[in-house]
Amino acid sequence: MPALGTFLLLSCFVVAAYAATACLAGARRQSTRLTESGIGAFYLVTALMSVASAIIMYAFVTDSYAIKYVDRYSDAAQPLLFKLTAYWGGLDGSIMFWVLLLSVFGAIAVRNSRESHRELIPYVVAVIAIVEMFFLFLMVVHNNPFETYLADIPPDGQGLNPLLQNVYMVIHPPSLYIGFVGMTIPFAFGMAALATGYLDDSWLRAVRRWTMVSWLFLSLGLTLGMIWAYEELGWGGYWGWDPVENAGLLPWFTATAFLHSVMVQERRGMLRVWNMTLVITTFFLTIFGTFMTRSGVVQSVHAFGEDKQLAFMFTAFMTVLLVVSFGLLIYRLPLLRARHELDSWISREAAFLANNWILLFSAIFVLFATMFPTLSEAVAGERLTVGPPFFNKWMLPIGLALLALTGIGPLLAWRKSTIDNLRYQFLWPVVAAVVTGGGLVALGVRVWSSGTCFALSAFVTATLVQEFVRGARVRQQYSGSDLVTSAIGLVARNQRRYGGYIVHLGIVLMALGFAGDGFKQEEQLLLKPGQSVTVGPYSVRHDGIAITQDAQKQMVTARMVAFRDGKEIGPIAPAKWFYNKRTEEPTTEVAIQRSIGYDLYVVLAGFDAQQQSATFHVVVNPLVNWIWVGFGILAIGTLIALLPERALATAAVKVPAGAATGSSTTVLLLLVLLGASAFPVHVHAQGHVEGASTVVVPMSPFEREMQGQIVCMCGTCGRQRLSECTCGTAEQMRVELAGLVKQGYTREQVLDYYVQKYGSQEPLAMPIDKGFNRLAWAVPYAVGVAGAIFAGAAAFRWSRRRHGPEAAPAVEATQAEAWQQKLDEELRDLD
Amino acid sequence: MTSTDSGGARAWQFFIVLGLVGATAAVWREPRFTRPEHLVLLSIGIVAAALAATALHRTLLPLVMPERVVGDARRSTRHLIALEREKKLVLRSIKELEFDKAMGKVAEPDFDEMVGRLRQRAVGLMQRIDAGEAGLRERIASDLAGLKTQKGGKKVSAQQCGQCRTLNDADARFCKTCGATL
Repeated sequence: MPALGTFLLLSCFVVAAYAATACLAGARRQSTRLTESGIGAFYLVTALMSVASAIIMYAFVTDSYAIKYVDRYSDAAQPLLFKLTAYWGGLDGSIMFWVLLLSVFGAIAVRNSRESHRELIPYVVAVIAIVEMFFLFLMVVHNNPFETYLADIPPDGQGLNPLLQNVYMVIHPPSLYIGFVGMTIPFAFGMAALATGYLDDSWLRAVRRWTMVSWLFLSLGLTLGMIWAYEELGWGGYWGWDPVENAGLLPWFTATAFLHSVMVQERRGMLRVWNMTLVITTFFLTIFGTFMTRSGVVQSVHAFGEDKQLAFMFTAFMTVLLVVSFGLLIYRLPLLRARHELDSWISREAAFLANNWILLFSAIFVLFATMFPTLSEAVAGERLTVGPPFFNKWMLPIGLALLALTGIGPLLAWRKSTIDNLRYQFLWPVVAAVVTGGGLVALGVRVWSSGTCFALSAFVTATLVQEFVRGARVRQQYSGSDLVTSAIGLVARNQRRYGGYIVHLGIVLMALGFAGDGFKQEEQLLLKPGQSVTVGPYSVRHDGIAITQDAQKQMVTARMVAFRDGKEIGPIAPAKWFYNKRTEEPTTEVAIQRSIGYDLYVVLAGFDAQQQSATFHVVVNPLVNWIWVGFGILAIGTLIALLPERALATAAVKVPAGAATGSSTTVLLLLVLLGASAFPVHVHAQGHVEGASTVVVPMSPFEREMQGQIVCMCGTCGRQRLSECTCGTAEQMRVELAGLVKQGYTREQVLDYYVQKYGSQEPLAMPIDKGFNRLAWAVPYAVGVAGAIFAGAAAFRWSRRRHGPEAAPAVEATQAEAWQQKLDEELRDLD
Repeated sequence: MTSTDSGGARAWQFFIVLGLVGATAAVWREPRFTRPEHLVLLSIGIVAAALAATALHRTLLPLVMPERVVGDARRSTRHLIALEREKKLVLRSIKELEFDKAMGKVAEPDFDEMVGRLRQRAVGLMQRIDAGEAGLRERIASDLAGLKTQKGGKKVSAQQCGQCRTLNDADARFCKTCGATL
């Protein structure tokens, strides 16, 4: 069976090579025989990869430990679901899964567009087949998942990493891979358009849906990754700016930029070169992200480990990719010239330009900050950490700027907005923002970033509500139906526009969830049976420890009771699980009490079975659930926008008059406001311990701040900050830090102490702004300013161009009248 | 659907049936398989192999089929299709502008100026499309005439109306559009 698997992978490589060659030759020679045969070979790759995938999964369920990959990622006690998903749990299998998905996606794309884009298809097949060949080559020469032991076949496997034995991890990687792989389709069509010279907007129409589908799956993958980190890693947060997380975020930024700028090309014929650049960049970043997580160039808690050979192969492929794609783009520049006209700087085009600049800056910044430790080590020979504080310093204002643009963009007209229009459009959204901001100040909220976020969220929400209401009223005037029917008809006739607005609403809800982090409260302390701790509105009482076991693991569970505002809300049971095969890597099973306003999040950090005492990390996370709700709304909006034109036309039926007009959105927003109104006025209220004896002295704000500035140096937790890490090393470092604070050390002295102790800046969550590391601080400014100058210069150049009206052939007045009538008829037909 | 496709469809049915028979036989012949997941994966593997056979057939079949000539009709219509798309884009821009105006986003003078420019462009495109279609019709007619000459051995040509420039059959006596005598 392993031999058959290896043979299939080899066959796939050969067949993919034939598909690429036959299609290219067929296209050049105008031979339908060769082209059709190449397309058939392309489908054959999909079928062969399906057989190979069935074989590897069969090997997993039948416990064939003769195959090294099965031995490394499975064992007899592993549940069936995790045996099946172990297929993509490791490096070799994940590459194979990548090729399977790419071949399936490619086959669907080619099948769908074969007739409508006949000239492009041979080149599309060739490009996708070449990408498949690269990954197949990796497997054949370096990462063969069917590689076997020559002797000493193990009786049982080593088992999948316990952290990955989680339902979110079953869907998270496939979602992310689908997002990554899906971006190959737009790239292939883009390359085909460049190769053939058919650079009208038809290729864009072919790829827009693919980009949206990929973007949706990328968003789903990132969100599932956040949920997994939140529930499985037990540090109280959901996004740690880990290199692997960032790898998924990079193409998300550029794909989002493309989805916006493509509208400018469709409506105004502008940004052709820019859109092609974004398509290439997005695909490149998917490959680069894969390279980052699999080559070991960056350190991460869930990267696949260091592999220099793989890094070299990826580097070679990426170099070829960049040279060929941008070479083609430069070669075709004369064909990509477009009528650039910017009627006004206060227009939707200009807003899209700003949005693209910010998104691209975000991608470049995240890429640079992620790679900076590697760069620093290569240039200055010093290992350092670029942690969440550094990322947040930049991404917080960037995120707020994007949120503001989310509200500003829809209020602007294409081409030009006047002062009167702006006043009419912005009045209510600005009022909503000011009232919200004022209300928060009155309530005593003093976290500027979260306050600004709430005010901007109110601004964007008011914008969206206004757009729906006014749009429905306009439609009502034309159709004569009631407001609800008009609103339904509005969405049905303008899925892209209003689906996009629903996506924006989802982004707003997610932003609210992120803003809640500013009000997070947490305590880490030792409790004996009978003792309790209060954090924010919650109290938890520790009642003892229970130790149980099953076939796979031993489970240490703390028995606790949770209270809210003094009322008991039920038992909670945070636990640590010690898997038999990996006792040195216990998993943290977090106990979470969810509600609309808050999450109570309790982690069992350490325990003493004899004393029945345990160390707990108790966190109160406000509004965190709005992130997940926001993603749900985002997905619904994307699906609406994805529907083909007029697909919802049947929905625009007459709804009985007097039908309920309250939307679920209103209800959701009310719930958010209710949750927000329950914010504690004193954000950093100290938790306090009650019971027989107080075990810990509450931390000073300075000590708490420093715990966020120093990272754990255990080497296995992914450099979490001391305030978040629950491992033993972090506990020792916290005690050490408390000692330094007690001795009266200043911030600089504490940082110097750790730099001296470890011989580098590695224990610091942010590089110190001096020497070579000054680059980390200077580059984002330079990139931001350069991008702004470039975008501004382009906009200035376009705004100075004024094309006269289309030179129409001279026609008589009567004929001109006839043409205008014909045009009016065509416009009526467009409805 | 091309002939290849129809052949493919038949092959697809044949290979899938073959795959299902193979999967059934494998399950029936292997008593050591006791767990359902084993049987399911084995069946999936065999059916996927049948699909691979279908795809192989689909790969080899075109190579033994006669070459289909791709004429330049498609290429000549492509320019028209591109113009048509550009026209649609301009029409959508006009509708978008009208909607924005109704929503109070665009001032009246700006709207008039911008929509006037867009309408001009749309009319220009419509005229170019019209001229292109006429040229295309002429080319198709002459191609057809050439084909008829090759087949029948006698020269046939289309004739154009002097009044409205419509192309008519070679043996027509009156114009099919304006009724003028040819």
